[in-house]
Parts: sequence; structure tokens; C-alpha cells
Amino acid sequence: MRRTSTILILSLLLIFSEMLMEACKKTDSVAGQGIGTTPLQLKVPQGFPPPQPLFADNPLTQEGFELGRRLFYEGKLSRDSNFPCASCHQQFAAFSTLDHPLSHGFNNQFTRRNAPGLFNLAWQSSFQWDGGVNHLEVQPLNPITSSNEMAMTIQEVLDRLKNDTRYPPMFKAAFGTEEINSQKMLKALSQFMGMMVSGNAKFDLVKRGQATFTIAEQSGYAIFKNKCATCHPEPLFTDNSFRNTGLAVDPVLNDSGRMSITKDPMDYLKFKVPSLRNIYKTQPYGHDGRFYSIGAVIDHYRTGVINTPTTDPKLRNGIPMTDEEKLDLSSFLRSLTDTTFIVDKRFTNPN
Amino acid sequence: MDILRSRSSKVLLLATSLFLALSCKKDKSLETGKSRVSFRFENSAQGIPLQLEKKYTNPFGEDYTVTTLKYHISDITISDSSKNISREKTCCHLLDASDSTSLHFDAQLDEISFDRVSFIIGVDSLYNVSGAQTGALDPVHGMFWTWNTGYIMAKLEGESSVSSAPVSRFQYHIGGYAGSVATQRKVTLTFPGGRSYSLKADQPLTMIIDVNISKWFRSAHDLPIASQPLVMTPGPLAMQYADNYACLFTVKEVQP
Ligand code: HEC
Ligand code: HEC
Repeated sequence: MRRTSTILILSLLLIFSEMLMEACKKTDSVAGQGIGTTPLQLKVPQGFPPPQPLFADNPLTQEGFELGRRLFYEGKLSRDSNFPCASCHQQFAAFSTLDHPLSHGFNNQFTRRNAPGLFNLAWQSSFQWDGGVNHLEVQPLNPITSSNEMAMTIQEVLDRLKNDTRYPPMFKAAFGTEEINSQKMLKALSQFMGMMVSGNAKFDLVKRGQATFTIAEQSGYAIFKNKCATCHPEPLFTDNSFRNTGLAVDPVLNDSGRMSITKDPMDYLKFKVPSLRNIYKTQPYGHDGRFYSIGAVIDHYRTGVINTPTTDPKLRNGIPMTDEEKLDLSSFLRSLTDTTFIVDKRFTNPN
Repeated sequence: MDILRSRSSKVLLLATSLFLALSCKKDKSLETGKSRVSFRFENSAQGIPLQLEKKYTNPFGEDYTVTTLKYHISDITISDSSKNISREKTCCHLLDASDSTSLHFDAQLDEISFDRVSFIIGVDSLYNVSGAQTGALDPVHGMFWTWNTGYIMAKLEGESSVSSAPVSRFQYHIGGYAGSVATQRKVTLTFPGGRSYSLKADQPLTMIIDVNISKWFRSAHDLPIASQPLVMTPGPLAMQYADNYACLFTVKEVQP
């Protein structure tokens, strides 16, 4: 009797001590795959270069992606709940703000710059018009904490998520524990945004031999390769560099562009070359949204370029073009609209 | 039978608590060949322990109070002039004057003899470019710039009657992680009397480090509050403050 109970006690103790050792371990919140997650893959469109190693330490999962999607559409990330990411990044506008030169944020304030479309972010090495953000994971910190955008602190956001019964289970599904911290939130958002790939425009179908250009598009493509492709090279239609296209300085915004980050006078008025994919869905244009149409942008290149010390050498004499060429070029740019991307169910509001 | 049961349950209770104590101890225990150095950072001004919101005078005769003082300490090593060197594995510590528990921490280091300690004030550039971090590097701590992403290596805020900024504030957010604007600074300190120590598993040490805030304003460079109450971007000025914060630290005492 004594013997069996000793054995029983001993084995019980063994189990107990295992459990206790577990309890003593600090739950290090290293973001990663939780147990039973469904792996996802970033599909690289044919002809695209390899993406940034964005997911090397943030393994893509269905659960992480879905959490990121919910967060992207979550009003609670903003002070008065009216400005989720999606309020300024609208899917039907390829995740830009349609028809607004500057976007609305908290307390009737405007952003300083035009909200760019969000797609193919996994091929970008820096973010924002001045390249001030060096990693997609940390990009959301800027709008969340800016007083003219979502006007929150990170801690407030985390507290709101912790107090919302829907979130702890979603964090657990994605990252293995119910603990909510900024790293997991940011990695989930990065999974959602990084998966936004747009590579299914008519242009891509033509490249894959599944469609043919019209005569106007074909002619526009030739003009494009000749006059625009140095800065806007296919397949991403940006070379990710910073350039001054000779725009007049807006005296109110007084935006010095890349120089505000590098402090280098040679970077004065330089802005990131934007992708031209989905360009017909993202009006208005330019870093401050000053152009209401593609025609107006092209006219700027033809006759509006102002020469200052940092104006790009390729634009110093403008880009001469006949009216007919302008029309053909516009036809080509329309072939860059990816109509599947802007209705892709994976990226719509989950609510 | 009853006696047995109650006795065995007592044994169970006792043994359980023993195991609890043991298993916790074991989990915290040192790796073989390692021992512990307890670091205690003591912020001071004018030779006395720094108290937030108390009035001090800096070397230029300017009055000031400190409301916020935070700095990153990383890459701690102990070494000597021969080949002995041991580096702490933990990447970074964030020391915050408003949270006294953050000023004390234990570092696991090899059992070696050593006559100096080094650390970096700031955060290695790698962590500045690798996306979302956690722990001491969590952006909730308010030490991460979001518009020009990267860590603030050290932050000093307060008030001074000589400040021309609104409500007499001064704010020094010193950062910049690469190239000509890199504000990480390596500090190497020797010990009082030039002594050396041997770290042994059964003889952990405590190192008390004085952090003299007066030198923030005047040491490598003269940086009166009146000249610039606000520094919030990487650049030449931030580099000068970084040179100064490298001068704040001295080892006051090493205790067994
Ligand atoms: C109030 C409007 C607004 C809100 C809300 C907003 N953004 Fe933005 N977003 C912008 C603007 C404007 C820019 C361009 C900023 C700049 O370049 O200075 C931008 C830029 C970006 C970029 C960089 C794109 C590029 O190509 O460089 C990403 C990524 C992004 N936002 C994601 C988000 C996420 C995620 C959220 C929610 C956490 C969010 N945004 C919330 C307006 C907004
Ligand atoms: C020297 C490099 C360069 C060349 C050549 C160039 N662009 Fe651009 N493009 C830029 C930059 C930089 C911007 C962002 C300008 C800004 O807002 O400050 C831009 C912006 C644009 C925009 C606005 C995009 C948006 O999302 O706001 C369009 C449209 C555009 N370019 C089309 C063209 C076309 C068409 C051509 C050829 C006729 C061309 N570009 C040639 C560098 C260039």
C-alpha cells in the first residue's frame, strides 16, 4: 500500500514539476507560427523580380493574414474609430484615397501628402513619398500615432484590442498565444499588406501571351519605353529611386521631400517614383495630389517642368510629345489597371 | 489508512512546494561556465542621485529639471588586456529613470577575470532596419521614430528657464543609426583603483555605474540648453550629444 502510494505520489510530482517548469518560463512573445496554422505563399507574378525577404522572420499564415486583414479594417486603431487604415486606403481605388489630394484624418485634419495605392509592397525597400520608413512592418506606427491621422498611442491600441473579446483568440490562432503585443500586431498587418500583389492587368496578360494590345496601346507602349521607362521601368513601373520632377513648391505644405530624411541639400524636392500600375484608379496624382488627371501629369512633363538645382537631368528639357502621342500613352497606361486586384475578395472588409 | 492519507497528502504538499522552488530555480539557473553580474545604473546630477522634476544647475549655470530620461544599453562585454572577453547574449536593455526597476538588471557572463566593462549606448543598426521588434525594443516604450524609422538611442526631456521653446521645455531625442549620423557610442570603463576581478559561478558580482547627467550638457562638446532646446532628428547636432552621452558613465563600485 505504502509502496504504491509512494510511486503514485512520485509520478504525480513528476508531472507537477514539468508543469511548474513550464509556468516558470517567461512566455517570450517571439512572433511566429502558432500551432495548427495554415501556411500561405506569396505568389510572385511571372516576370517579377524576387521580392524583399519580408516574410523570412514572419512566416505567412492564413491566420496571420486574416488577423492583419481585420486590423486593417478596424476602426479601434483610431482615436474616434472613424479612421481605420481602410478609410484612407480604399480597395476600389487600389488602396489609395479616391478623389482626395490629401486624405482626411482625426479631428477634421488633412494628411500632408497624397495617400498612395498599396500593392506590390513586398517589392519596395522603403515607404512613404520621402522613403522615411525602412520596413513594411513599422509603417503602420506612423499613421496610428500621427495626430492628423489615427491619433492614438500604440499602448492605447493594444489595450483596446486586449479588451475586445474577438482579438485574443485571433492572436492565438496566428501566433500561438493570446498575448497581444505590438510586434504581433505589426507582423499581422505586414502579412496582409505584403500579400497585396497586383500583377494581373491587361499589360500582364499581353506579356503572358493571353491578350494583345490595341494599336493605340501598342503605340503608347513604344512611347512609354522611350520616354518614361527609365524612372518607371516594368514590371513594377518604378525604380524605387527619389527624383525631383520639377514641381513648383506648394508654399503652404512646403514639403522638402527626401531631404527631410537625409538632410542632404541634393535631395531637396525629391520624391519617390511611384508605380504606375492601377494609375487610372488612384487619382489625384503627385505627392500632394495636385494633378486631377493623367492628362495633367503628362502636360506637366511636356511643358511644366521647373528647373532648379535638383531637377532630374532627364527632365530638364521636359518630355516633348504630340497630342496624339499623349492619347496613345494614356491608352497604354489604362492597360495597367488590374481589375481583379481591386475586387479581390481576400482583401475586402471581413465584417 | 486515514493517517496514511493525510500524511501522504502532507508529503505531497511539501514535495510539491519543494519542486516548485527547485524547478523555478533551475529554470533561472546559470549555463555552465557562466556567472552573473548585477548592473545597477545610478543616474545623478551635481553629485547626488537624480530625482525627476527636481531643480538642478548645469555646468553653464542654467537651471533645469528632468521629466524624462531613457537610454538603451546593449552589447555588454567584460574583458581584460589579454584575450579574455565575454559578451552578454541579451541584445538590449532600456533604462528609464521613471521606472527604477529598469535601472537594475542581471547579465550572464563567462567565468573569466576582467579589468574593464564595455557597452554600447544605443541599438545596433541591424535592429533599426529589421521591422517590428519586441521586449526592450517594443515601440510602445516611445523610443522609436515613426516618420524616419529607427530607434531613439537616448532621450532627455525637461524644463529650463533659459529654454526658448514653448513652456520652457527642452527635448533631446538622440538617434540616427547608420553612416555619418550613427549615434551609437561604445563606452569602455575601468574600475576604481584600476582593479581587476574574477567572475566565478558561486561568486556573482554587482557593478554600480554612475550616470552623471550634468555631462549631457558639457563634456566632449559644450551644449547649453539656451543654444538649442530641441533636437529631434539625426544629424551633426545629434552626433555631438551622442559624444557627450558617451561621457556620462563611470563605474563607482564593484561589490562581491
Ligand atoms: C488619414 C489617412 C491615412 C490612414 C488612416 C492610414 N494611412 Fe497609410 N498613408 C496615408 C498617406 C497620406 C500616406 C503617404 C505618407 C507619406 O508619404 O508621407 C500613406 C502611406 C502608407 C504606406 C506606404 C506606401 C508606400 O508605397 O510608400 C503604407 C504601407 C500605409 N500607408 C499603410 C497604412 C496602414 C497599415 C494603415 C493603418 C494602420 C494606414 N496606412 C492608415 C494615409 C493614411
Ligand atoms: C526622371 C524620372 C521620371 C520620368 C522620366 C518620368 N517620371 Fe513620372 N514620376 C516620377 C516621380 C519622381 C514622380 C513623383 C513626383 C512627385 O509627386 O513629386 C512621378 C509621378 C508620376 C505620376 C503620378 C503617379 C501618382 O501615383 O501620383 C504619373 C502618372 C507619372 N509619373 C507618369 C509618367 C509618365 C507617363 C512618364 C513619361 C512621359 C513619366 N512619368 C516619366 C519620375 C519620373
